[in-house]
Amino acid sequence: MTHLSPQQFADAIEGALASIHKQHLKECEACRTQVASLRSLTTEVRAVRAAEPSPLFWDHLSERVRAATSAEPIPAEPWWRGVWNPAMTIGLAVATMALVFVVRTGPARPAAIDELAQARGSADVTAGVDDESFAFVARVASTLDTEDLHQAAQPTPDGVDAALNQLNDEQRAALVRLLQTKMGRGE
Amino acid sequence: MKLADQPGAAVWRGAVTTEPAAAVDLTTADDRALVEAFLGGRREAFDVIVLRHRRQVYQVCFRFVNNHEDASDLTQDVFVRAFKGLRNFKGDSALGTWLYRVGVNACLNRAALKKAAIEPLEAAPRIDDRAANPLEEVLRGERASTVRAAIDRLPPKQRATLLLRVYQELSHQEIAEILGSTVGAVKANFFHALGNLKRMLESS
Repeated sequence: MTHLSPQQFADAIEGALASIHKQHLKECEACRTQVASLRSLTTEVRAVRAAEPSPLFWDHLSERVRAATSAEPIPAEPWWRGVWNPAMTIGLAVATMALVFVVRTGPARPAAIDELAQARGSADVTAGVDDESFAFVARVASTLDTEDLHQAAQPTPDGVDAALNQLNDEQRAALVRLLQTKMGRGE
Repeated sequence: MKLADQPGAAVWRGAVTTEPAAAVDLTTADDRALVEAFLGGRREAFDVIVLRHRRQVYQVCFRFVNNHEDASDLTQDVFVRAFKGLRNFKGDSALGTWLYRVGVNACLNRAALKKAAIEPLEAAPRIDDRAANPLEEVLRGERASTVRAAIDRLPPKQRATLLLRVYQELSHQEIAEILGSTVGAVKANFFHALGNLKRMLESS
């Protein structure tokens, strides 16, 4: 049989034992005796009175405290206490969570770029790709190293110019044809 | 007296001031307003805090050390510490609970430095000649002295838990906050305190 734990005894002494444990108390004489004994002791302890100081003592105590603190400066209030409120707490928490989310995930990166990077050097990187635009980009990407590919995928103003300068005549002509087709001005 | 019964026992959960500190009537202000007024520069607000809480702080100190001189010194020390540390009071609990914490820590520190003066078991209790039955009064006084002496011998945390629970009638949660403990640990300490007390009284 498992007896009451110290916490459950404390609850039982104060008449706050959870009903799930009351059945044990009914059945276990040892626990019941212990609870009754400690409850009686609590009553006895409570009855022990403390000596009450003289009524004059209280004012004397206040004067002592005043004298002991008279040379102390009043502690400065923290600067944030005047402006802090629950709304600010919630706002700061939301802003922090948003910042963490942005930093951890970064800008979206097209899955096709990874696919292109992996396909670099393969004999036919356009195999199975129907879209003409995608095939062109894949052909160009296959000639670039990883760093250049990242730069092209996440272009900066200078990065675009640099990437165009790296194209050979054939690639540049293909790009022009592609752009004209897409803009409705075929050859 | 329970904390909740004390005047101005309102919990301070922020510091959104609705009234300038200088305009607050200190005699009727709640604890939150008193703290704000004090931190805002009104030294007299601290006098009201002392006035309001001195009895409770003294009582817990007296129960701990069992003599008036040490209890009054400790009480003064508690309020001096409170004066210096009130800017750290965050308002998560009642000011009374925070003062109890300062008081209990002062008592525990003292207990660690100096063994509490143990009331000798054979000390003659004061006899009240006006009592209806002087013999009964003597016996009651003797028993009370024995109980006090046994409480003095409890380990400090068990003693603090017992005193705060039985005499100050604080909740387990409040005691846990004061002792930096958990409700479960407070209940266990309470049970062990009573168990130890029972053994000591039986052996005396």
